[in-house]
Amino acid sequence: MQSSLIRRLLALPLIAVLIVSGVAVQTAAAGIVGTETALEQPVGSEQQRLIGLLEREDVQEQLVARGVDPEHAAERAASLSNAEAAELTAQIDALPAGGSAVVLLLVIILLLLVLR
Amino acid sequence: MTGRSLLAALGLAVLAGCATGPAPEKAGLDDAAAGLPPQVELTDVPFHPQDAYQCGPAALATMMNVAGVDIDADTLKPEVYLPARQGSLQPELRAASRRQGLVPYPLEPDFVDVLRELAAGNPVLVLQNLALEAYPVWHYAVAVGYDLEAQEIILRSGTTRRETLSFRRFLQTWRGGDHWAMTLHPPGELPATVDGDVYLRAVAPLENVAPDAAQASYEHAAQSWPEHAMPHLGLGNLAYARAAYADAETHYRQGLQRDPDATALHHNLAWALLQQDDDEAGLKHARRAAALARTGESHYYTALEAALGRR
Repeated sequence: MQSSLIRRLLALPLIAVLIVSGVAVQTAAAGIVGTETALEQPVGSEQQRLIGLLEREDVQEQLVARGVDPEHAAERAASLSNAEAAELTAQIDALPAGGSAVVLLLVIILLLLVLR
Repeated sequence: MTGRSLLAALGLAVLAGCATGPAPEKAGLDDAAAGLPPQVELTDVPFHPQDAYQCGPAALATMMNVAGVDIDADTLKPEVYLPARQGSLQPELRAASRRQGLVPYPLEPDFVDVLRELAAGNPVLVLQNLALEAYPVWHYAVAVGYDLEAQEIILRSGTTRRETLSFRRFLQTWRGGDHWAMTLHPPGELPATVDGDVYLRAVAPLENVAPDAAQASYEHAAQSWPEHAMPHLGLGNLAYARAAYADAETHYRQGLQRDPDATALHHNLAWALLQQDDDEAGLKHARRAAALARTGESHYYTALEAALGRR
């Protein structure tokens, strides 16, 4: 009996805090969409990025040198889901920048295209 | 191509590895460089010789001076220099620029664009890898000129006030830096190779740190691209942030005149109307925004939720 009273007494301020903080969170989250967000590349941009990579001259040279048709690779890349493309571009982002990265990048692209 | 032949190609790729190395980069400038002045040198660009590994602060100070900000490398050092990495990261160079009210513009990874900016009088901050691919030595330098005849680029680099590099050598080092290059502009000045969308994306992060600079940049963008709707979104959002909802409404409506199907403009207009207690018009634009929003763009529903909650 007493414990339930204590619980109730404790609960009251807690409820008040939750209501207030809930309102605060809502007003912070709700509202206009920022310019940066609105200008973000549309959904599907990961694929576009991947296709953009495949369109790079140095990447295409490497692909052709290894007997891979760059157009074919681009078609395969286009058929990836956004999540798959994101996974792949995340791996590419983890690579060091530089010339050798092109070869590494190709290995990853080809691996992924073969496995899917 | 079958999976097997792709696998074979993959095997080849692994075997070939770095042994073959990338083909020497062709300058390939003959056609693209047509129309560019044969020689350019921006002799007025100041020079900040770097200490130790601090090419980032030194090069950025040079860029900022040209953009009209009086600052030296030592002042920038705590902002952009990472002792652990003995260097600076590109996002920090951009952030430090924005804090000074300047717009950092990322160039396309195209050497001709670097030359075009130089021809237009804009120095270009470039990232180079001066060593081997496997053991990179990153370096920021400021390109200040070129000579098409001599096939040379002129840089403020490290402790050298006037460094000349052959196009071939520069392209090797710049390729190692993933062809990263940027120009820096005060509000109201545009790069020579500017693209409207890229420019607005470069301006948007200024809204919080330098709202006046963002305002001036959007206004100039609205004049430069009179058909573009998005400068008006930026102006509207700045007004909204000042709680000037009637002004925000005007800007959003100007944007919608240019692009009647812009989700963000309908959505934010709905909020500006709700803030002015025009619930009916607010609901109308909130509905339109929700109808235009693509999958996953739940942030375009908040106006509708708010408008419905008021009924």
